[in-house]
Amino acid sequence: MIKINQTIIENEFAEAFRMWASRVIVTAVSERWVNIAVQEATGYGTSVIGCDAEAGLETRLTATQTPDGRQGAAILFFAFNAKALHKAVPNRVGQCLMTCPTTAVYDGMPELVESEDSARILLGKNIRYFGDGFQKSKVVAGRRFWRIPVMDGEFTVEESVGATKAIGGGNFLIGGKSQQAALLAAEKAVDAIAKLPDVITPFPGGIVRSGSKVGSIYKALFASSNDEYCPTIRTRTQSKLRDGVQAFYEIVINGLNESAIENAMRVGIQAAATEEIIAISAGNYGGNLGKFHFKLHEIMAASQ
Amino acid sequence: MTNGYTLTFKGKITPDDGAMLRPDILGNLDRCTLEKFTIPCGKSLQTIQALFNITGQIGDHLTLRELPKLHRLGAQMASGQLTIYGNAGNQLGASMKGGLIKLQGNADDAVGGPDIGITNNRGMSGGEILITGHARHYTGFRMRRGLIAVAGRCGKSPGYRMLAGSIVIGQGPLDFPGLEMRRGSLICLEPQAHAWPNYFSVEGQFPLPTQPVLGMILTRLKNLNFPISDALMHSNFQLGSGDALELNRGELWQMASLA
Repeated sequence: MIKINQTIIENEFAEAFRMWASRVIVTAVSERWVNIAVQEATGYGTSVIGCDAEAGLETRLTATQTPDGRQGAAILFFAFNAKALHKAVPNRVGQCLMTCPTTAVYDGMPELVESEDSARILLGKNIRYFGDGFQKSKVVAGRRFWRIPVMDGEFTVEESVGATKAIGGGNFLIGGKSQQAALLAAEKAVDAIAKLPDVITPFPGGIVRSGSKVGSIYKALFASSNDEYCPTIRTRTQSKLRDGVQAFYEIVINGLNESAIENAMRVGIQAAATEEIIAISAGNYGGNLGKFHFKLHEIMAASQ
Repeated sequence: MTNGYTLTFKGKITPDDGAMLRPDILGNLDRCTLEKFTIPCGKSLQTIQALFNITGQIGDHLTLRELPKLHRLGAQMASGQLTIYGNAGNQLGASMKGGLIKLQGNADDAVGGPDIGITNNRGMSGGEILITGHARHYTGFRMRRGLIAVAGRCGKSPGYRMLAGSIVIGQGPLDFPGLEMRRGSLICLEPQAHAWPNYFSVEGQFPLPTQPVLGMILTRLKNLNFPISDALMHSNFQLGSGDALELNRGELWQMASLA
C-alpha cells in the first residue's frame, strides 16, 4: 500500500483519451481585461460531452512574454479532433475575444505545421471578413496577423493557430472525512496544478463534483452519476467508499502530452494528501476505452 | 542563429559590390571552398582569401568587418544573418527575401529597394534590416514585405512607392514620407518630428498599448536589440492614412508624446 502522509493512494489508474489541443495567447491593456477575456473564452468549456471544447487558462503571461509587449494569458482548448477545433476555436475567438475590449489574439504554437500529428486552424484568415473590406494584414517575423477595425481601434488576430495531438481525461479522486475537507484539498490540488505548463483543469474551479460512469438505466443517456462514489447511497450501491469517507471530488486534467499529465497528477495528489483526506483514487472505464493509462502507484512511486 | 564566418577586409582590392557576401551563399561552405570562392573585382575575379582575412566556422551568421562602402550588400538574401561593421552603399538588402541584416553604420539610397535585374522591379519581400546609423534617400522603395528599422534619420521620401511592410525611423523630420505608398506602415519615433504631408489624413491619436500591431513591431525590434525604450511602449501616437492619391491604405504613425 502506498501512503502520502496519512492518505491511502489506491492502486487504480486514470483512463484518458486522445484529443487535439490548441493554445491561444490573448493580450489586453490591463489585468482586468485579460481576466475577463479568459473567463469568457473558457466559459461553457468543461466537457466535450456537451460543449464544443474543453477550455482553461494554462498560464498568465507578463508583458515580456507576449508578442505585443502587453500582459496576457495562454488558453488551451481541447476537442475530440482537429475538425472540432476548426469550429470551436474561431467561434470562441470571434464571439468572446473579438468582442472583448482591447484584446489581441496570437498563436501559442507557431512552430506547428500541417502533418499527421499537428494542424493549422484558420483564425484571422476567416475572422478578417468582419472588417468588411477595411481590414489590413501585417507580417512580422514571418507571421501574418489580421487587423480588423473595431470601435476601440483594431482587433489584431493571427492568421492561424497551431493544433496538436494531446490527451484529455487524466484524473484523480480525492476522498475526504468531510465535504469541506475534500473540497479544500481539491482546491489545493488545483492551485498547485495551475502553476504547471501544458495542462488545464477544465471543470468549474478545476474540480468535478458530478463524476460520471459509462452507461445508464435510461436508454437515452450514455453517462450517469458515478454512484459507487456517492456518499448518500453507499448502502444502496456497490460503493467504493472507504469507511469514513464522506465526499469525493474529482480533478480532471487535460494536457499536451503524457508527461505533463503525469506531473500534474503527481503535484496535485501531493498537494491534496493532507490529514483529512482518507484516500485518493482514479477513474477509469475498465481500461478498454482510453488509450492512455495513468497508474497512481507508478506516478507516486516516482516521488517517494 | 549559429556562429559563422567573419570576413575582415584586407584593404587591397575592392569588390565590384557586396552581392555575393551573403550568409546563405558563403555560410555553409567549408573553409577550403570559401577561401577559393571568387568575386568580381573590376576586370578580374578575386578569391575571398585574397580580399579578406577569414576567421570562424560554418554557420548561418556572416560578419563583415572594416568593409569599404559597397553597394548591394545582402541583395536577394534569403536566410541567415548578415552583420556589417561599416557603412553601406546603395541598395542594402535589395529584393531580399528573408533573414536579418544588421548594419552598424550608415546606409545610402534605396535600402530594401529593388535589386538590378528583378523583372517586377519590387523591393524586399521578406526579412529584416536594422541600421544603427542613418539612411539616405528612398528607404523601402517599392518594398513588398518585411521590416526596416533606422535608428537615425532617413533622407528623402522613406517608403516611396511602398507596397507593404514596415519602416521604423528613429529620428525626424521626415521628408515626403510615404509618397505614392499603396499599403504598409511608416513609424516615426521622434515626437512631433514633422508636419503632416497633405496627402495623408489624420485619423487621430492613440496610446500605443491600444495598438497591438505597433506594440508587436516595436517588441520585435526590442528582441533584436534595436534601441526601444520602455517609455516608448507606453507613448501616444498619431495615425495618418495615405497616400490619398493611391489606395489610401498606407499608414504613417507619428509619435505624439513620450510617456
